[in-house]
Amino acid sequence: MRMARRSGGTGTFLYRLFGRPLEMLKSSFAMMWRTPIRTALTIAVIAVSLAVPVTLYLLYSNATSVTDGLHEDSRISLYLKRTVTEDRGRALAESMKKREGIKSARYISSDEALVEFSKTTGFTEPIVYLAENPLPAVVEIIPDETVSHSAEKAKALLQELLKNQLVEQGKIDVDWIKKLNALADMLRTLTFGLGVMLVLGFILTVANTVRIDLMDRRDEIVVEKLLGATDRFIYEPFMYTSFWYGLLGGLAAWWVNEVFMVCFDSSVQDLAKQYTPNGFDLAFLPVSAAGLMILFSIALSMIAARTALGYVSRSVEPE
Amino acid sequence: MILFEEVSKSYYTGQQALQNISFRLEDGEMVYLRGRSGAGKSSLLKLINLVERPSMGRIMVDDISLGGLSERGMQLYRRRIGMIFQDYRLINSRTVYDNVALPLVICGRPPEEVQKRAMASLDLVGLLEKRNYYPLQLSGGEQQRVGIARAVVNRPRIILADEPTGNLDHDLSLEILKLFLRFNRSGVTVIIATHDNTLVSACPRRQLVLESGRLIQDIPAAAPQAAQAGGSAS
Repeated sequence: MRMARRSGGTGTFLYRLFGRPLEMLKSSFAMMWRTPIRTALTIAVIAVSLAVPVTLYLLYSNATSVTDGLHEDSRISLYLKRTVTEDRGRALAESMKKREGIKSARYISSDEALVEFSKTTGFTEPIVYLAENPLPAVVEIIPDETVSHSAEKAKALLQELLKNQLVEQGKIDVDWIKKLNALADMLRTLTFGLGVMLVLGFILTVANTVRIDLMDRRDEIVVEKLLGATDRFIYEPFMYTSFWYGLLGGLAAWWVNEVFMVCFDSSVQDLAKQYTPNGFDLAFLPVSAAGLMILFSIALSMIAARTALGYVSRSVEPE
Repeated sequence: MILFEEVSKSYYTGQQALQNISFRLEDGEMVYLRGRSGAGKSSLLKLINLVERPSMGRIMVDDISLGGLSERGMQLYRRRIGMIFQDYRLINSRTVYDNVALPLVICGRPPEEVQKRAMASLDLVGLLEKRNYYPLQLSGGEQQRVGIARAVVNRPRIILADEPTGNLDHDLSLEILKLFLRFNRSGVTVIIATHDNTLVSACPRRQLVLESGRLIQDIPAAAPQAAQAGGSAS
């Protein structure tokens, strides 16, 4: 007996390449909606599992862009000795600009400091009655990014600058940088941890749905095996179904993310207008990133399905 | 050619389904497997279709030792066997046409060929008009004919029928039997497991009579009277 007859020809090849996948896409889509509640729940779980970490990551990115601006405010104030003349003070500021880790340096004379103080505090009259200006000249330094993002490096820079003979004392508020960084780290860790857990939930949900789908079609699979179907043939509809789960789940996750961000955006704008008239441009998920998320969703869904099929289909054998 | 050499089959429960069975069937033979319920008829068919593997002995089909077949080899082998069941084993969520076309789809035949052969097979069993029906919309006899159309659509060399008329009345049984005779005349080896004496007497052929897992009689086609006696003895 000939064990198999090879069916060749271009028609067969093209059918296997395009015709059959298209048929399977259509039939698996129809198959999914035979159990609409199960399908809807699975897609919803996938959507939430993806949308939550992606949204958290977006919030983290937005927060980072805000705090990057705030880091520029981590300036160092060097109070000069009273004996230092304005020329020497300006020269000192110029020399500091050339140092590593310093983005800019500005000399503020004691008179300019007094004017700024009066403007910002509104205390004008009491100062007028003082015999002499009590404020020292200051060199205000803005560290570059390598220093401003690290409290330790900023402190180390201050210690270096204090060694200068012209400097009486210096000040930097690094605690808030530490707090901000810790908060950002926590948000990042939370996003990652939650992402891992939700992705695991995603995999288990798809695997379980495919397992139930397969058990529902147990009799059909037994018949197919009796007729000589390969594992690949038996797995095919389930793999296509998992493709749909991944695609629809990914699209739903994108939608959930957009809806959340739109709602969140109005709150952010209200808050930002309290500080700046221009408001704040909340970054949404770019289309390319959304596309990647959907591809990731499809890949993960198919991997989960394939793993489940490998285990479960062995228990479905003709008797 | 199908050759059984001292084949035994016991299940993990300890039940001895077949004991020391030996026989040889030539190409194009039609054979009845007879015996009471539990005699081992279904087990024997399962061994030929590789649903079960023998505990002892050797089974050869056309010079292929079934014991040595791999998973892939088993799948290819099953495609060359037409299997018919008492309970039809149709897929109720698919149309009659889809059920019949399934073996061809499994083999990866192109759609034009699938359509042509499935239609021809349905025509053969007289169900072309009902190709868009679902199995549960058909009578028992019609469902069995769908099962037969599915079994023969891939042009098998061997047809195994397990109590194919078990759920059918006399007239329908004879109708089904005529189909088997037709396939047999075209050179297909047909093995029918049955306890229906009227079927055997209507069309006498070689009989293998089983009892408690043993082959107690091998009655040639030329001796219909002896077959009757063997059948009633079992």
